[in-house]
Amino acid sequence: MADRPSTEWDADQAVTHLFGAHYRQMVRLASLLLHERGLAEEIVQDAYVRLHSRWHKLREPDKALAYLRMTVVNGCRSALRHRRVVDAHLAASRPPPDVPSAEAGALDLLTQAAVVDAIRRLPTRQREAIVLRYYVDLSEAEIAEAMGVSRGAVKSHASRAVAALRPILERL
Amino acid sequence: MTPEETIRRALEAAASTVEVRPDALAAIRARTRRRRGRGWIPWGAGLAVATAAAVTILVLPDAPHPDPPRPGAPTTTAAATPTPAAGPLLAVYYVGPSRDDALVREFHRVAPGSDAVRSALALMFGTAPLDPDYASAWPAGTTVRGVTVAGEVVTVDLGGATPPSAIAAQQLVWTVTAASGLPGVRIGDGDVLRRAPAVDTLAPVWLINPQEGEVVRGGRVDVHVAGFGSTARLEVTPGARGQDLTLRGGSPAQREAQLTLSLPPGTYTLTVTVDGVSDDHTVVVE
Repeated sequence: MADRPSTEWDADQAVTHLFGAHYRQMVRLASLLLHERGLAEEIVQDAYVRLHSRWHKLREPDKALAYLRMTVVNGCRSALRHRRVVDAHLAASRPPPDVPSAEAGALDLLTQAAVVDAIRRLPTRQREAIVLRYYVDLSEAEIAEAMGVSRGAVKSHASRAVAALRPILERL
Repeated sequence: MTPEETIRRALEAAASTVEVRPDALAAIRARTRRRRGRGWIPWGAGLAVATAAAVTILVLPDAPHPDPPRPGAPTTTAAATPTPAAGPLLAVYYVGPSRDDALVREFHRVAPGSDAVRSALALMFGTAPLDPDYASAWPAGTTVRGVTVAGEVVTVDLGGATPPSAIAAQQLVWTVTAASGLPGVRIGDGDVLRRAPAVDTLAPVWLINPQEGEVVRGGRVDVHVAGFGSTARLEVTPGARGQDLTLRGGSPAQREAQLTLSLPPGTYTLTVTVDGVSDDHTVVVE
């Protein structure tokens, strides 16, 4: 079945191919947007199930991938809205360690932890723009499609996010 | 490092600790099959539907196993028999296959409510891997005295024991970070350790699914392969069926392939090979 052109895939074949190629990255994307791993995987599985029923309209892997991303971003957004994961997370999160060890690995680790923590605290749409740009490596047009906003809005969310992160990045 | 690179590396590091469930494709399939039978499930039902479905279709052994199942023992199956929710699956790293300088991964079921880090370490130190070609790089008898979390670092007290090798340290780091979701690990009062780059640490090829000794009902075997390369060779014996798989997606380095084989009942050995290195598992099809 791997040799058949993708436009001839049935919905099951499309799900299998897109699962193999993208499932793990989708789960990782969702967990960066949510910071809750169990829920991340549920949202991504929901997206694949929805893709299965939409395949007859999409027909092409590129379109299907864009649809998956959009559905995952949306699913994370609703989950955050409804379950207030961010609030729970911020309430539970600990302040970053004060005294970095001189050990190089530990310094690197503290840098990364501080940056991820700062990204977690960004408003939802700013975080989406940053994660889609720097983790998934999408173009501005692809980010706009995944977020369901205009390219201009992506630009402004991203630039506000980078401005918010700058003080942390400069301190490092 | 530019600010953009710092952001990129931080996100990649955080994402790399997230593992996916080995039975995810089967879980999706079970839902798309049901949907076909029943018609449209409204999206508004949302996460509740997802949770219910995930609980219902998971049919895995009631772990923890005091003795890991050997080939022939009843283990994972994709059959749709509902069972009560079992505990989570944890990723446990070992060295192998048949080598002691690279990591492989197995998923083990633990009891509901177990502490993930302690359970994963108990499996790593105290339970033989399912695959006899895998092993722990730690000496038998290593025990965990305590696990504490401070900030982004999990400290594991091994009563003064230290890793016997660099790969043993990474075996513990990959297992603990997978269970905790936190990037740092300290053994006793040692330095903070983090995951070394995947390409330097993980075995060149993994046969993720089926796991060693699995029993698959219904003749459809979901195969999930990961490797450092663009293609992998899959051989199924007996039957001498061989095919080349294209590896794609996954993390930037470790690419993956996923397919479903239809096999008549019998015992099979599935062997995947990337650049001359192989991983094989025996599976029983009923």
